[in-house]
Amino acid sequence: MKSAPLPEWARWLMELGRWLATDRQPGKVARAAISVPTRGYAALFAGMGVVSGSYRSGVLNESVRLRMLSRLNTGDPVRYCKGDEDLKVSYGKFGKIEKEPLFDLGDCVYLAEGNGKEYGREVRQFHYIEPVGEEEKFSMDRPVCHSPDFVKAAMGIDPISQGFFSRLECVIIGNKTALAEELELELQAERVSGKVQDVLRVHEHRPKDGYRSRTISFQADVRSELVGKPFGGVVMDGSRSFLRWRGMARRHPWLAIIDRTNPTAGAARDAILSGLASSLEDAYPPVGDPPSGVEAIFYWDRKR
Amino acid sequence: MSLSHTDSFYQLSERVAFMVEDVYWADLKKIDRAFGALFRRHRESEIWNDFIRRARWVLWDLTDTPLPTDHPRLGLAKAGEELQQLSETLRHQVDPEDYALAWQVAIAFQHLAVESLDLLGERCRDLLRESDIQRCRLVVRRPRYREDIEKRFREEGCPVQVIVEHQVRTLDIMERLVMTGPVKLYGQYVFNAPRAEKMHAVRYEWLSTRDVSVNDAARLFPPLEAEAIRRFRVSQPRAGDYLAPTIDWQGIRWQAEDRAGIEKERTGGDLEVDARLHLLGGGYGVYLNVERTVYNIELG
Repeated sequence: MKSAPLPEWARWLMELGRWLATDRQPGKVARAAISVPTRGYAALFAGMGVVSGSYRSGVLNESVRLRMLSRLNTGDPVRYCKGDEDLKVSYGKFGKIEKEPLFDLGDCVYLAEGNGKEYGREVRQFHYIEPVGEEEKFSMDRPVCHSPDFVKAAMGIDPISQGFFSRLECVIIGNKTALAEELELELQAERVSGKVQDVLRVHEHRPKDGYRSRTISFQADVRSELVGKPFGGVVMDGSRSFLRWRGMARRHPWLAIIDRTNPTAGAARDAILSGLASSLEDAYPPVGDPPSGVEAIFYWDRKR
Repeated sequence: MSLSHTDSFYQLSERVAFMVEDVYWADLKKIDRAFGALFRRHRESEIWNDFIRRARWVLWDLTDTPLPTDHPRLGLAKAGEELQQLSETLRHQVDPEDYALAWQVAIAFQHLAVESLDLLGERCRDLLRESDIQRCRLVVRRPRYREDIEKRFREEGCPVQVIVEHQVRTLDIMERLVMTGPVKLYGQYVFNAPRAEKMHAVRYEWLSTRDVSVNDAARLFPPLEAEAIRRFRVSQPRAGDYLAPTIDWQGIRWQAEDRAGIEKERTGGDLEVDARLHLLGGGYGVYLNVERTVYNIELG
């Protein structure tokens, strides 16, 4: 976040979301549980962090990415992040790449630009290259960004490329009606105003736009949304969302937001402490101390 | 709710002040002790059942209801008479010492019923008068006496709005909240999601030893509890782990299967009942009769 008149807890939640989406450790999956005095906006700020974190890092884990890259053919579309830009290019396959594990290549991958023109530059940060998966659709005929200056200023990401691609990076499970109202919240960053939705790009909220997130009611069946799809993180807004769907979200990094006024907060607390008891170790996200009014528990769970 | 309004709940957490106000009342403390002695000795006894239940209700009311003891809604005189009759019926069946205690409790209630003592209410009013009454609320646990309490406070020149505990969840930020009765009887959210800058728990002094601390109530994730859980984190092998008891889920399953076989032989065939699947900790499942509400699994 570069500059925004945001409360401290909102900025902290965004940092926490970013950590959730970016910190990947082999065999482990990140867990964060926080309790707040009131649920308002907390899930959306955390979701904004997940989306911006996923944008920079790419969300496929290393082994999946390498496996997918090794199966690519010349000319297949790939996504390539260069600085803040998100480029769609085609894959140029040369010599040693074929049937070789990519990590033996000395970190070299060659790329050709979208129209077949050879890009020809040696790229050492191969981890920024991702195949464009089925879930990521490139489209020119939809509204790309409603307030690009705000997205750029607030999150430091390229608004156009963010808008061109659709890929699920964050799932927020909670009260859909309440979340939909909050998505219209207007924020300011570097004197440019925009809405939470401009960053989160929730599919349900503006179905015709490209998307990065989904909001799903905790009463709906979210199984099909959570199983088998790699993405940045799941934000469970409220103890009922957490108690109902934490099992299904176990493969993804998740954040549980517990509103302390909720009658089921005590049951959620017990479930969180039970998770802590069977966890691998404590996690120490680089987000600083929880702000006033927020309690937090972080740990690494065994990846299953 | 706007973002700035939401933010005010977070800001409040920083400046909230919790205060416990202990109220001293020697007469009621004596009754509490006498009844406490009876309760500890005879709570399982059938012949004491009626007496204990009735006296307990009255003490519950007196413990957290800021109304004068002669208030008709409390019905202390009637309760005292009923308890006196009940203790009379116990006279020849129980230990004379216990009978004397029961009699003492019944008579003490009757004495209170002719006085007009309202120590809890007076302390609450003193606190509420220190602030703008429009920005204060009195919180009671049960809705039963809410209107009577509100009326009484208005008559005493303290027109505070009285709310029931669960209404605190949706309350906007107040200047002062006054709660009557022990902290542990209130939902934790009253303290860990505060809705006022000054939160007072007004309770009788002798209840303090049985009460939880406000600091404990003010946290959802108690740090000590989390720390204890971390210390016994099961996934980390530690020296001496072999001493900890382990549950042999496979063994339990085999034993359950054996029992089912014996039962089948005894009844001469399969008995069909509606069953619900329960998950055991080891990943095994067990079907238990759906009609039973309390399950008792013998571990053998």
